[in-house]
Amino acid sequence: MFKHTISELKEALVCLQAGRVTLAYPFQPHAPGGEFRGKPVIDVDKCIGCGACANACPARLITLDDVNGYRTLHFELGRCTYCASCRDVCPQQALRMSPQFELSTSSLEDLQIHVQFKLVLCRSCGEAVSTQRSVNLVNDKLAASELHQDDRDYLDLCIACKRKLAIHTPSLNLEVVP
Amino acid sequence: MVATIVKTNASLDLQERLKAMNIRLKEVRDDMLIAKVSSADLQDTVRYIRDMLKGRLITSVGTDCRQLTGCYEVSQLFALDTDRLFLVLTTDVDPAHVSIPSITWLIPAANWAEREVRDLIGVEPIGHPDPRRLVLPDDWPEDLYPLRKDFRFDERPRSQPQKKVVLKVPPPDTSVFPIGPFFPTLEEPVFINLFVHGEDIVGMDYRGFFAHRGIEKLGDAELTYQQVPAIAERICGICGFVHSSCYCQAAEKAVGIEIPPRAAYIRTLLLELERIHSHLLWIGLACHFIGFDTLFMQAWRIREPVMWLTENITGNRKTYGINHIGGVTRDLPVDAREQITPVIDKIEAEAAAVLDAILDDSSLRARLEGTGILTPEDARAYCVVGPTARGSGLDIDARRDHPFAAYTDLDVNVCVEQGCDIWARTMVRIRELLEAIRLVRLVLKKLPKGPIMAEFDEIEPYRIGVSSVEAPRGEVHHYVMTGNEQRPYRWRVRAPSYNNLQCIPALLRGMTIADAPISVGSLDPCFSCTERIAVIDKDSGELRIYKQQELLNRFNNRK
Repeated sequence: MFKHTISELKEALVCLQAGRVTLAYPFQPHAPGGEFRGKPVIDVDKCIGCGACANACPARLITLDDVNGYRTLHFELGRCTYCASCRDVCPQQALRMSPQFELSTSSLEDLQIHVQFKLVLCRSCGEAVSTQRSVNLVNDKLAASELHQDDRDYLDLCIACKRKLAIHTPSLNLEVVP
Repeated sequence: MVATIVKTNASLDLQERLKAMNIRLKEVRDDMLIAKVSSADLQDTVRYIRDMLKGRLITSVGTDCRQLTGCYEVSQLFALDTDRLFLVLTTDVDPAHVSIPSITWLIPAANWAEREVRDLIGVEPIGHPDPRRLVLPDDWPEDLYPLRKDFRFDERPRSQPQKKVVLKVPPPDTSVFPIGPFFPTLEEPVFINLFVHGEDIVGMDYRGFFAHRGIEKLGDAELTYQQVPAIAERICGICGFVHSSCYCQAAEKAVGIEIPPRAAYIRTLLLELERIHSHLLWIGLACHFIGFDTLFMQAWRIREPVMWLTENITGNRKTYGINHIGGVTRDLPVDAREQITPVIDKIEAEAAAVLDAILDDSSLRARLEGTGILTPEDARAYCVVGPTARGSGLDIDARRDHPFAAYTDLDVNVCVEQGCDIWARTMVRIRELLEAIRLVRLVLKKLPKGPIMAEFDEIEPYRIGVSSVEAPRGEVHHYVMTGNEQRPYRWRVRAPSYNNLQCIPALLRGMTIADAPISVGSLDPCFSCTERIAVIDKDSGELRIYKQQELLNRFNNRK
């Protein structure tokens, strides 16, 4: 019995020493620390609309839609699990995970992102080649490299038409040195 | 030709003995044997493994291999703990006679696994003592097996006219005392019917799997290798990192990827931090079950700094999200040691103060001592794992018996208690909490430098890998068979509660109703949970998700 009373006193002491620890959230905000993975934010100036993020997203919430010469990159963040796969694969470092975590809303539109890109259409068949931005990027890289300048003439051809052209123009085939 | 020496834990004697039992060894690896046995020899072989090799059944895996071999395949996974081996015992099942002899009468722990294989693959266990449907919902059509390869992952079969839930008939002269379909105090879906004589429990019926999420199907039909860890980590809402680690390890072992030492240490560090927060969470919950809310609050207060710590070093308090096949994707911050040390020092001091206070609390001990008895024989029969097994004197711990990550370098003290009651399980967890703190310090001391991701080529198809991870609740086990479409051909997950929950009938035998919640709670069970309401219209079979306002309207109109 005596032991039990001492035990109870010790339990009371644990509580008294701790005091009040609960934060008055949301009136007293508690910012996440470190490199927190919150709501993904897209830098529309850097993004080229390549769609690598859409391939990587395990929740399949990023979709691409090519309509009427425009590509729409669409994020449905209601399903986001903040895994940061999109950020990790982005070749342009256009995605970052913001510290924002208070995302509850009664309107789904608050959790959607749409980005539109102008498409380059194949000069031969009219199919979408890629976004104007990614074509420009390849163009700039080729211009800076030592490769033959002619390569840039084929940038506005889709893969299928490029292949056809290559088959019909043997001089285009690169020599493969074993 | 140079003879290659197979490095393996399996002694030649063991290999000879297996051959003598008509068990064809298909593959001998470091820590794993893959053997083939015919359907006719299965029961004798299982008895031999149970009695002579002291094999512990982990689970059964059903695979639709019709595209590869023309057969279904059922594998029984055994752990030979003293030999540090996993034994995969595979039986081919002819699609013309889709059945296999049941082994539940030999090993009670096979009960659920065999029913699950039947529900999802369609292989009937002949002679099963309780062949009711287990995993699939009651209105799921007969003869439609979702884990077969010809079943699309997003197929939505029409609901079959609702059949009455098959419940066990209570023994004569007993009353039925229902608990559920939401477990009191855990707020998770499970339904337990207790059969009682007055206050005393004489039997029970268990129904679970109300929130079956089809995660394994997603893994082998839709996701890619490196996307699976993201969903694996969400299998459990408390100890998710064990699942992503276990999946990655199984896949790595299947194709022989060696992860860099630093990655192994980071995984170990996070696994132990997870154990610290999970055990503190359980201590709080257990006290909550018995109405001791003071300690519930204090345990959770002590726990909270670990959550903030992992948020700082991984980017999230719970889903660390850094596991990939081949290593981890995010290194520790440069000041990791400075961040971690004060937190675990404080937890150690505070846990010691609480422990000192409660050890002589006679009302707490009166409630927990002698309650929820699980005898070592029952523990062995139901193949329970983790603190539940160790509280009943079973000296097993995957960190020592089947070492993984950096545990090969660390000496883990396995905490075993002989009491077999809830107090014994409590003591195991408290001692493990202190042991986890010691291991975190050791990891920080030994943490090697270097890369965190291994380089590897394409993942070779149709290789099998199995791996265990000692989760706070017990041994988690994953089975991965690699595939050729950049995703597993089969991915099987066995969570510790799968085995531990099956021992509830033995645990509650002879107890009173008031003992039931804390007895079940003492297993640290992890049912599953869903957080958004998806309502399926009974007439049209349409799925729709309600918005807040619509739900409110619906509710208001009802009044």
